[in-house]
Amino acid sequence: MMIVFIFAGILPAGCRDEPGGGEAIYAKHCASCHGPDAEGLRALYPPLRGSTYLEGRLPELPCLLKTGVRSTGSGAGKGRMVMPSFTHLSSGEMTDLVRYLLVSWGGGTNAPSVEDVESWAHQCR
Amino acid sequence: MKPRSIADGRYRPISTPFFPLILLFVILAAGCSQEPAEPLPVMGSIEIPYTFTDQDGNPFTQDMLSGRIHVADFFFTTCPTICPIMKTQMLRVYEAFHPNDELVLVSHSIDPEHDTVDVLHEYAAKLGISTEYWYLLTGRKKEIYDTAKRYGLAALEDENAPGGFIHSGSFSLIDRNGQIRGYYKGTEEESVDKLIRDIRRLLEEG
Repeated sequence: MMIVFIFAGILPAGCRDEPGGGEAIYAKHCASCHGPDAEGLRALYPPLRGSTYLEGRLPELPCLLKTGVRSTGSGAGKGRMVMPSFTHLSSGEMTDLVRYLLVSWGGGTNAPSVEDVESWAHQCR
Repeated sequence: MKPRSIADGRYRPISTPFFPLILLFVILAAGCSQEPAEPLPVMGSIEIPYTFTDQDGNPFTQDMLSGRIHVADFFFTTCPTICPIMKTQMLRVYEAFHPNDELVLVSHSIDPEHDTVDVLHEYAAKLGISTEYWYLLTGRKKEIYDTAKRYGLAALEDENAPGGFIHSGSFSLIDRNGQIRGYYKGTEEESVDKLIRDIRRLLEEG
């Protein structure tokens, strides 16, 4: 029993990611705006089905998730986040989310690896 | 011949050819004698002494609600949590009655620094709503927050909250006389179903 507890203590942080994988991460962080079926909300929140970020622009997706989207409105509120940044997601969680989005709504079958996602995320400007 | 009776087993009421008609009459009579549904409760009255600005840059005062039923809520356009869900549900109310001059929806921004007229105008355009039936309001922050209190809804700044603000996810239903008649969870479909039914009741009251 002591061995089990010691082993659990040295597990890398990625093994203590959010439970449920990409689907749970989506439900918790994305569904309120983009909808439970990624249908979006009229022209206010874009649908994810068919999004270019799930096709040719896939390498840009980790960066978008990492930096969020800021308001371009004028006034004292300029710069507010209109889409939050998800810097708190680990590389593993980010990969799970990207894979979930790709499989669910991008029609993708070539799931990126954690290394791929980390590499793309490091290229953020 | 002795009259038939139930006791001797020769009287069978159900065998009368008129039984279906009798049954129908009983059912209809029962329906007619039902007590009318209880009226919606009166939870208070609302008085808003302020002038706000709508998404078209026009002044908005409580006078514009006079004689009309309205539903009020509080939100901000960059809200990452409950507001999108609330707007989805409020859209259901909008679509259920639009266009109807007797009902108006009023959403107040609790982040007027960011939610200027231009921002609200774009937000409304993307939502696909018509100003005359759904107002998005901005104004002085203190007055907006006081208005939330008057409606019995919470709204405050909190730098630790997602988006920087905390507010109620409820919708408040106000009748033609400025009386609060109900609160509904704006993030729950069933609660908004009830809101839609209650609006119909208020419309029928005239």
